[in-house]
Amino acid sequence: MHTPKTISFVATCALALSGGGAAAQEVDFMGWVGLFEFQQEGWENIVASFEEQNPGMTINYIGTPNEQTLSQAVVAINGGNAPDIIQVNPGWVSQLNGMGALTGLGGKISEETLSNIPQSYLDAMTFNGDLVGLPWIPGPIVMVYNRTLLQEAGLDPDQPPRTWDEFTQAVDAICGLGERNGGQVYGVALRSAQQPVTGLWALPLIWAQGGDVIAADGDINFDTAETRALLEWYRDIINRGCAPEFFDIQQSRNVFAQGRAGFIFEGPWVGGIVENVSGGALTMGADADVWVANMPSADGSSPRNLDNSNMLVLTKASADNPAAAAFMEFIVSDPEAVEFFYETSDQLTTPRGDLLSAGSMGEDPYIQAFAETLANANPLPIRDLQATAMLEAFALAIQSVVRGGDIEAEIANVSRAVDRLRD
Amino acid sequence: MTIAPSVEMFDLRRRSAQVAGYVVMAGSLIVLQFPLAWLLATAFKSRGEVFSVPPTWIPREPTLEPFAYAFSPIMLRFFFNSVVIAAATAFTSTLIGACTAYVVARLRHWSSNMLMVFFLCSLAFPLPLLMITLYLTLSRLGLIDTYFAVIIGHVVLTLPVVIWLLKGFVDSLPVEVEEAAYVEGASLFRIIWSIVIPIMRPGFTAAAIYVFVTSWNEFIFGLTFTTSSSMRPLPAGIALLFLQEFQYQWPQMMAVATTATVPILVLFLAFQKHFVEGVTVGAVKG
Amino acid sequence: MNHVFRRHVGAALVLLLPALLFAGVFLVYPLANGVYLSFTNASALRPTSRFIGLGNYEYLLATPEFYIVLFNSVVLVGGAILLSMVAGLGLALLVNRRLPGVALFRAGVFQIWIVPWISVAILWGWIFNADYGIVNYMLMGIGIIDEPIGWFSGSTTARIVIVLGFAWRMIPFMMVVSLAALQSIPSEVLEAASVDGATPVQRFMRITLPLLRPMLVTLALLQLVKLFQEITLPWILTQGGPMNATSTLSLYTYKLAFQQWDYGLAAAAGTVWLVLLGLVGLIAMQFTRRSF
Repeated sequence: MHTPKTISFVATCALALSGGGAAAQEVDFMGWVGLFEFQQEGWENIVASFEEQNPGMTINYIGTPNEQTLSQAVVAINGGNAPDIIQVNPGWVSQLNGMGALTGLGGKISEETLSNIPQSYLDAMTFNGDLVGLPWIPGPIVMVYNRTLLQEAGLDPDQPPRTWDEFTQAVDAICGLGERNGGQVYGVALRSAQQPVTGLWALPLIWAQGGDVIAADGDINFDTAETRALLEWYRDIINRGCAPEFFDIQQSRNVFAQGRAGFIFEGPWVGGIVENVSGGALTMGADADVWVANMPSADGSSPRNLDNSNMLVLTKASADNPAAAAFMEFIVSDPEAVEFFYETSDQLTTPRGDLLSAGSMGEDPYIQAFAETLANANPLPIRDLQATAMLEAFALAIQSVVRGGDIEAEIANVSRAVDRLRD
Repeated sequence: MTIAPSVEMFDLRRRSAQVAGYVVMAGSLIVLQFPLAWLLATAFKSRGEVFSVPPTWIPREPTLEPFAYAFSPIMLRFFFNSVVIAAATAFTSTLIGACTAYVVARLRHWSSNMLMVFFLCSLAFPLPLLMITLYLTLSRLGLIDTYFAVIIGHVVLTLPVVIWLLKGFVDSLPVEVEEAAYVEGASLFRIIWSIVIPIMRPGFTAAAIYVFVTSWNEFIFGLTFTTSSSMRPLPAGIALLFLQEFQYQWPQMMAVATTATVPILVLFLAFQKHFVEGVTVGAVKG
Repeated sequence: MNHVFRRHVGAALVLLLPALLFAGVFLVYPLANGVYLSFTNASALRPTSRFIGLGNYEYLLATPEFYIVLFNSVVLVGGAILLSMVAGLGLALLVNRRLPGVALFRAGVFQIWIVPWISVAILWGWIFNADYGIVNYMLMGIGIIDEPIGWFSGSTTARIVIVLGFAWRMIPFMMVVSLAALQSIPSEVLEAASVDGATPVQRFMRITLPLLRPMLVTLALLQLVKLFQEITLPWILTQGGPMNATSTLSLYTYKLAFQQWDYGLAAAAGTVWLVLLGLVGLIAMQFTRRSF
């Protein structure tokens, strides 16, 4: 009775000890890219091609859902087990960099790669003169619309709304369609679950009111007329039944892919998701079912799309691991891997302009439509250590106001949280 | 009552009470087992059938495809991690718990009672509060993302319960045998080795099973104290790896939930007699 | 006659040493240090921290979210304990007969207590799914509701789902323990009452319940402490939403500590939790003592 237990205990200790260190030519990559079915094939191909071309180098993929990646990364960094490369949202770079966890990319990424990436992207990833993040899957958040529903609601699908008022009217018109495709049709598949991304994706909507969350003096400020207007808009649109109540990302995507919502705000990954979830029932195209346009704006002529690209960062753990930087550059720059990733996932798979306009990506109108919206892309405005927590506070305010909470009180709560987090 | 009921009437009443008893048992069993039955029914369905209206109880075209995900290499790794962690925790908690329980039960000193009260209270210590310092300490020692870190967390969870469970067990054993052996000149080591350990064996089993089950089911230590797929126990692994990809692929999710549940159920059913007695004795005495 | 240990205090101490060391390093020190951290602005994102007195407590007590979370813990945990005690004791009374097969029934029910929380959470998400969930389907089938309920988007309905999840896993334990306690009541006592002409309800209220009360209070207290710590179900199912309706004190404290990395504030929340549970424990202990 005692022996097997003793053995298992000894085995445990041995395994526990061996779990920590990794050989120099191993690269630990943490992120969510491989957790989505539509991206899996392309990602596995990137890993396999790299390993084939670089014998002796091994990639260990650590899958973490998007919402959990930041906290998992911080746990790993504080625990001295940082992965070499982390796939991150732009807002997290400031936090990881503020913790002193990142290593600069200067001299590690070739000039050829950097010179083909739009300067605004690189600026957004530059902190105190150091480039610390490499843009990867470009993610301008734009207005995605269901042309069929627009037409059925008596709107011209070739002239999607440009101003915020036109947008709201279109939402109401589509919402009046009643039941379609097995359920109530929503005007817009808004997300308002209790998650930081709800706050993040509300930022371009504040811009669309003509407002901003950064005051003239550079301070974060949610206490503005435009923010109030947006909170009221959330409250009214959800209580009118024209947007679902408290859906998370997946739920809102599902309802849009089922053809039960007129609009959704999404990035270039939307094509793969829509075709995957709808089982091919909805197709992307300027004259097909679903197409994309710039975000609506207050005056109709100055759209501001939020850039929510996936970024790659190198941690301090990879400082003396050349394989890590090599793999990072390979991900965004290997023409064949980038092309294959595009073909299997139907999204922009590199920020490099030369690669985007070459090959089959250059001939794909869907890719080019997104590439055009990049011109109006703005980086995340909040570059604070605790950006994520601030956005979660705003998400909570949205929910409270939808449920009848007092707007002034909620704005005060957000400001209070921002003050504490900024400290 | 002045007239004694006839034998037949008594019989009839007893029989109908029996029937009612079985009806109640069957009814409550159906209600309580319903979610598990639905779990199994869904796990064998195809993607299309899972959304069919009206829902089907017996899958029309049963498929094992959802289980392909549940038995993927990474899931098997989580399984292995959970087995190692749960076994090591069961061993550690039971060993430390047995030493403590035996001494406390036999010493009958005010200080040992204090110790028992302390361990009881420790069940109420807020885990996130303890976790902050545990996390800081373990990461300073470079032990985050090892089995050791998770095992420590799981011993924190289970040791107090094991001590209480085993103390109740020792209390129910007659002390005279040990004393007689001592009078006859046996050493303390011999008494423990040849008398105490053999009669405590059922208690060890109950305690070890309790710890194993608790460790197998634990989520938050596994989530926080590991950072790589190769160290993660099953619940944290499922939450991090499968919930994103399979969020609306219900058969796959049910297959994963089934495979996380079945091994622990089999273990429990094999030892349930010891286990139920061990757990209830402690709780009733409480 | 004295036990061996009376003569071998050294041996006793050696056997106690592992537990004492473990308790010191992994229970007492983390607790004490945690309380200390609650008076600092410690954070994983900051290299140094300093003493800030009651700052964290002031912030916490002025945060509306904190009171919602406290309320939730009481409602969710209290509701689940009440529900599972009533159901567990009820079931135990109903099957407390010398029937062949009771052991089998007991095992059949008890195995639910073994189902991992992660599986309960995944399962609950599916059976309470708004569009395809079996619960909505059945409720509509028997005409209780006309259209599907979005269980996870309403505050009350989300709370109900969590309470049912907690209770479902707790009922078996409550039943098995109550059954063991019921069977420990000498049958002569109940038979004597029966001969005296007491109805079954009177017998339960006057004899069974008072005899069971200390056990029930202890059990409730233990489950209270345990469920207060439970995080998996709300974490997976609702992430505490909508509008913090299912955010419990444990989930809130955990998120402060390991998602916002605000150790100081998290420690303050944990300390308040410790004090509150301590008070509940003291009150409950008075209650059991009086019942004897």
